[in-house]
Amino acid sequence: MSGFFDVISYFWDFHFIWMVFIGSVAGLFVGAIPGLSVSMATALLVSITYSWNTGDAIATIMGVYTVGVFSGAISAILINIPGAPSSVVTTLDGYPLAKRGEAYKALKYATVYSFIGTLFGFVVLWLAAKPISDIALKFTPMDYFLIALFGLAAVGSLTAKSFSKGLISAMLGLIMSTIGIDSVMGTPRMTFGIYDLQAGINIVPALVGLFGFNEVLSVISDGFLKSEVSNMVRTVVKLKDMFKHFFRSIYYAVIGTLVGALPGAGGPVAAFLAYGEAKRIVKNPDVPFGEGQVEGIVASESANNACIGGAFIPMLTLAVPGDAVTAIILSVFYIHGLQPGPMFIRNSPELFHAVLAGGLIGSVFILILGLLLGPRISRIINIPKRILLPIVTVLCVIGAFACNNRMFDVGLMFFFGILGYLMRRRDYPVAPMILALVLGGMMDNSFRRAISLASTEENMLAALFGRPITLVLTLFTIITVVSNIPAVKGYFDSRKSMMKPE
Amino acid sequence: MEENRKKDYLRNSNIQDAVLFFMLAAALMVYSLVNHYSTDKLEWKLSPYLFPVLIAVFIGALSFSLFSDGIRQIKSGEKSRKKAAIHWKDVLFTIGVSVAYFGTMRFLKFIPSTILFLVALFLHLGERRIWLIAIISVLFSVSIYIIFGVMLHVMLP
Repeated sequence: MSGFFDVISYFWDFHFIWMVFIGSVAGLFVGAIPGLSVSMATALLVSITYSWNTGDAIATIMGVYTVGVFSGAISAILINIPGAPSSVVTTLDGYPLAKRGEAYKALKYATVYSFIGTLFGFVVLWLAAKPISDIALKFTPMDYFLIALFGLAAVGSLTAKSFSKGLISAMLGLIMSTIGIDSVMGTPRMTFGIYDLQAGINIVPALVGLFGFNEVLSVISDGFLKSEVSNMVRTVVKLKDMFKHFFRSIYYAVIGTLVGALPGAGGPVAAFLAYGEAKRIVKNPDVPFGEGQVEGIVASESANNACIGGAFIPMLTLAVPGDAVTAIILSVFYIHGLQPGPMFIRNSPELFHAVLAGGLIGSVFILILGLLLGPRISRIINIPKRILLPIVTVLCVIGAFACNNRMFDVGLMFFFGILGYLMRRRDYPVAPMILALVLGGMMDNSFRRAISLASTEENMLAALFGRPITLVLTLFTIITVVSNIPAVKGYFDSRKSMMKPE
Repeated sequence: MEENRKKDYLRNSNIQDAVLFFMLAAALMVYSLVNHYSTDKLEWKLSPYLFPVLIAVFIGALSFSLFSDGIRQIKSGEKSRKKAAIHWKDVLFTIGVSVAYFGTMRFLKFIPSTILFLVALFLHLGERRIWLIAIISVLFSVSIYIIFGVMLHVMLP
């Protein structure tokens, strides 16, 4: 484990702990209130923390991220509306438990296993980041282009019902990333004479618009969520019963970490996979799954929280974010002049340790805040949307403006919010667009560098694709794309159904 | 019969989107080629328009894929799943008020324009307690100004 004592030293740094705590409290409320999302809060934080020192910014964002993912379970259990997409699966067994008057027990299980999942994910990040960085050092510009392309293809396939729609969303993001002065030739591209576009599309207003204002419009569009909070009766949960699920939770956390490390997959996919495994492993449950089986909560929460550490692995070592929140965090790094990638751990070890410490301290706050405040914030979850939404809109305006102090960015934020809303109405996911906006510049530069380098070689194709790593990455990308073509998918589905016994 | 079939094609959202994205791909391709060839002695390997050409090719291919999704949907008789009713009036009002907020901020500055924006939206979204609207609008605007503008040194519009 690199820098064990450096990471541990943050546990004595009260200023750092305080910043994680502020983020954690914000994450607890943001994650628990349906309509507010962790992505939205992180996007707003990017602009607020713009003038802060990097360590403080990372500490706060890590607090929001770790606790925010967990607290989605609170509203999932109490009002059957997941506060975050990762907690969708938690509603399946959490809400039936709450309806039976066991909301306190459900919350306790969700808290403890979210803590275990988060902790596991960050330990894996700690162990795996350096070896992966060492491999990534051997990557060429073409490899980087292919990794980003693979990431976009994976996000496209996992976040949308239609693969074409997921990829189109990514392509729209790529188009927007090419707007501005070209970094190689220094000439304006796709600015159409608009002076403010010469600096390119700033990622912060785009993020705030796509995750913040879009959410406001969507909630208004769907009518307001009416919900009823379950009664909270304090019950005793024996430690022996609680830790009966420990070893299986590690298995779910492994699933979560692996899924998190895949670009784009994220918490909801991990939770669904782990839930499926739980149903497979637990043969004769005392309470059926979907009717209040605690194993369902254990699986969902261990897996979706383990995703956090997993999502940081490609972000820190390859500069390819694992999900929408890490895409936003990547932009925080860029704004603060940092360059994630294979050299990140060597060049900025203190910040790598800060990410780890922030995550580990954040996981401790999951336990503390979840057990102490979780059961008590049921009233806040029910803030009327007619009060909440206008306030969120004002926060979006501030977030968009604060980054560059330009009214143009506020206009951009509204544009992206409306665009995101229209996309959502027509079933286009916004996550691939965000990922493409963040990765577009790197893809453009890497692609042109790869072509330039290969053009000096005798055999251009061999120079581009001849290396084993490049071949493997090309193969992965092709498999991801081809396996999602409806005709191919249909063929395999029909084969599968033929193989099944009657 | 033929008329109904034509209507099915025109009404299918995947086909509508496919046409739109194909046009976008074509426009991007034309824009990139025109700009590339209008720059003297620019090699493709260094051209800022190489990547947009690649994106245009991808979008073109994806628009065909979307088109085939639409055709498959019509042939299988599968209807697009019904979505919950959309409150268009509320959405358009919110967008309108937000644009007005954006416009008035230049003249009225942050606090007055934010108070006006909040009052308008609270009222439209159904809050009827005038005292609560007044308190939240003023308190929120002023406290945001103090927290962000004064304490956190974040510039406000």
